[in-house]
Amino acid sequence: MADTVVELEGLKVKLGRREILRGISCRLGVSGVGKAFGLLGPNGAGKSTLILTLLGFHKPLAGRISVLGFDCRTRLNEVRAHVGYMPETDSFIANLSAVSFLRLMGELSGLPGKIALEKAHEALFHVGLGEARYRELSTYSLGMKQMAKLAQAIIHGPELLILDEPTNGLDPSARRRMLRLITEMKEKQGMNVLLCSHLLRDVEQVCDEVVIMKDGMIVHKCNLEEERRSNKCFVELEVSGNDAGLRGALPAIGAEGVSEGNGRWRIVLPPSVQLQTLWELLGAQNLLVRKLTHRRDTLEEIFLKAMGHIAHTPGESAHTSVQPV
Amino acid sequence: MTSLSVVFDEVSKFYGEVLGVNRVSMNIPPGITSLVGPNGSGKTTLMNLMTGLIHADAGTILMRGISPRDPEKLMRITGYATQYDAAPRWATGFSFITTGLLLFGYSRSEAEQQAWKALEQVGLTDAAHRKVAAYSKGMRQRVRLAQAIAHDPEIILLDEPLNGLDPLVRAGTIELFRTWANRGRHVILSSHVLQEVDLISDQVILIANGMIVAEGKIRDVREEIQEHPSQFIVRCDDASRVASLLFDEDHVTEIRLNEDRLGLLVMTRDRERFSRSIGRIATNGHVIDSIIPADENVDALYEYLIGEGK
Amino acid sequence: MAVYKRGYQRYQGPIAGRWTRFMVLPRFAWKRLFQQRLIILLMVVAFIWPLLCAIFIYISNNSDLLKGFGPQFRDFIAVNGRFFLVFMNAQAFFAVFLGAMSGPGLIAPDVANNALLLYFSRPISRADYSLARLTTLFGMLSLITWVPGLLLFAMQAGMAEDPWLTEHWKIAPAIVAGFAVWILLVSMVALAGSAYARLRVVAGGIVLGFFFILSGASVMINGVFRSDWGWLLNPAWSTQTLWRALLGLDPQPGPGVAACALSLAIMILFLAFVLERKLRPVEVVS
Repeated sequence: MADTVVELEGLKVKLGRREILRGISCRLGVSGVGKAFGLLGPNGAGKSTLILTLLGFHKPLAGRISVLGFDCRTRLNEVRAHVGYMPETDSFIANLSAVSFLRLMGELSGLPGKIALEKAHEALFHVGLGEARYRELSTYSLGMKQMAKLAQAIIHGPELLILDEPTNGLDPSARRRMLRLITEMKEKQGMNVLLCSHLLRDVEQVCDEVVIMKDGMIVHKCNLEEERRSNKCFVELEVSGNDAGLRGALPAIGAEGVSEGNGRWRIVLPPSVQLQTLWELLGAQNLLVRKLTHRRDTLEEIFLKAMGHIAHTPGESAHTSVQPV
Repeated sequence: MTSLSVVFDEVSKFYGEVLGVNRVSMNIPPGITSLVGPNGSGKTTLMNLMTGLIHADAGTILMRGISPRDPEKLMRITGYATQYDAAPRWATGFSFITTGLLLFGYSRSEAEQQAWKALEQVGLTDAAHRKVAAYSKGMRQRVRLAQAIAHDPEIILLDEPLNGLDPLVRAGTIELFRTWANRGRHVILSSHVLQEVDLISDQVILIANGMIVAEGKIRDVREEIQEHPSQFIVRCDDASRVASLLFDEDHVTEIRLNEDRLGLLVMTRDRERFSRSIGRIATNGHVIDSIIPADENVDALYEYLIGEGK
Repeated sequence: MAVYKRGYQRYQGPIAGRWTRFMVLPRFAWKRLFQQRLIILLMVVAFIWPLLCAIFIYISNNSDLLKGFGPQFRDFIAVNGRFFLVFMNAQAFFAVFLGAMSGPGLIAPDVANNALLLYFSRPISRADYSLARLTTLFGMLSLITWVPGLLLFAMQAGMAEDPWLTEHWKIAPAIVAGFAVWILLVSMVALAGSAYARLRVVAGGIVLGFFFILSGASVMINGVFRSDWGWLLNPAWSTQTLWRALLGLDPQPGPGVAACALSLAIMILFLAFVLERKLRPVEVVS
């Protein structure tokens, strides 16, 4: 029977005098099925505390916490042997070369000596540090250090990869490479990834499910795949040409729309209306379509909703009250 | 009035042999301008040149008509939030900003008022009397921002200002930028998160290897790049059929089928004709689900002009 | 012909056991330490006295050779408790220097750039980490202390006539136990220095300073208070008393064995406490 990757039940964690995690229950993932989970929340929500508790750095006050079927309290060594961690902060040993560093980390994780050396080279090539792997880590740039951190997290082939702000400080090319590597880990290597990040676009790009925390509790959990496939009623349009008559013409096909200026429109199509009809209408109005997409809650809106900052999706208002252009 | 711009004219800066920037010329109007480029491309050098923290080896710089060699005048209208921490160990958030303001010549009560206003704007009033050393990363970022704006400057320079901020604070900070830009200020920031740059910038400056690669409004820059045909992503039910219809059009240079056979990536030399073609196809019995221009964003510009190459 | 796709493959083989993993840190550390010329030099110099002792033992057990020397010299190289006390003192001195040289590079690099986070996200506990570092130093220091000591003892036992062994057998465990205490103390100081000082020179200085400064302080206190209790502040002095008792020799004037043992124990515990505080991978700020 396959184990749940991360299982929390009534987890409470207290640091100093404050209770940071106030009773969380959650089940994420299935062992052997590679998926990525985003962990989101404002600062102070308890994300780092949760991660550190998963790794056994903090002891729970109450409740259960287990990774891949191993209880974090009683079988911590097994948990750590199957987890790879990439911390947010700078973390390296200055006077070692990348290969020596990776070898050390690999052997500490339990890889046999010769294999650790092989894997060190493999991992370094894989993250793009092939050319620099014999140089000391103190000579590395920030982007390179981030990649080295990723390499040490994957060298022992863990089942669960925990990444804390992996794209921090990376320039666009490096960020792209990092996200591509993470996606590869889950798709090609079958690893489960727990990604903690403030950059919602990164999370949107890589993750299948998202857990949102606030004030030590989980306030929302959703499956991005399902969100993406959800209803197609809201349409975002960008046209060129004279769109003055469009607003008046929309009700004729049973739709309603709001103009945002510059040829941009937000349109609500009831389920009975075909997209084709809209196309015909646009053609009849002599408008050229530059962009036409179906709006679904972007992760940002899901997040803001979970935080209680907005009551419902923008665009739903187009359905209830249409503003004059 | 051109004296309301930030103007660089053939500016070069070398640190011994190490390249800072090489013959940079640019003209930045008020509004939100983003500096985009790989690490080590010269963004921080440019910001330091703008504030007069370093001086150019060649060329002239005029910040709204004032030269950085005149720091007394310039620093009154400029605020700079650096990438790294600079608060003294003993300082609380409030005292950090107040002390800075005292240096400007404000009286103590004025300085405290202004400092409090700035802290309110960045949402740090709760933690204002705690030591900066105890702040989290995001809070330190915000206190740097606060100290940059406390004296109500006309030019605000921000080096990676959104780094480490959670999505809520990010959104709030972006609002602030927008407010200042609407008041006619210069908001010049550097960032690696290209999707955000897309959303918030009025203009963008791409820099690589110490040289300016592109400058201007995103769409204008894109239109100028002729070598790359425009890209559109088309989602439809019968991709192969739609593809063959599009192939008949001579403005189409390349089409790639998506693996799921429900989408196409179309490269075309003429956007208008493409829109016409697709409109025709959509009304002729083919279900076109969505059309998305794939490369009118900074991400694409970055890839075309700077790319992965080093 | 086939195309081989070789890139990163996820490791899914067996994981090494606890003690193999435990020994990873000492192995890596020893390898690095023995690549340093100064350390090798120091170890060579530290073997000079044991070599001389071996020669003395040889002479001492060969009556023909002995005839050539006067009675003072014969007394000097008589192999007994006092002989080994001198030996232990000499080697203890070198042990401090070796500790000061090997210690700094052990923990400082890990603390300097937050690498402890990476260590402890692996199946190794803080206790294991400290013990592994301790083991590293124990290994190095043992090589110049009780290992040559026992070899000399065995040499003597082998060469001397029977009554010697039955009379002096207690020397062997005394050498081991006595040095164990000293090695433990020196190692703890070296590790604590390494954990707190960023520069190797400073960390090394801390080790040397610990012993020399405490020695000076004890003399001062004795002078000021006109008593003997100041000696307890000097770990070298306390260890002397301990060794004399173990080797069956007359005690030196001053506090007795129990007091000395206690003071050493307190020092070691204090250093352990100080070390533990620095080995926290995650700081909790309340």
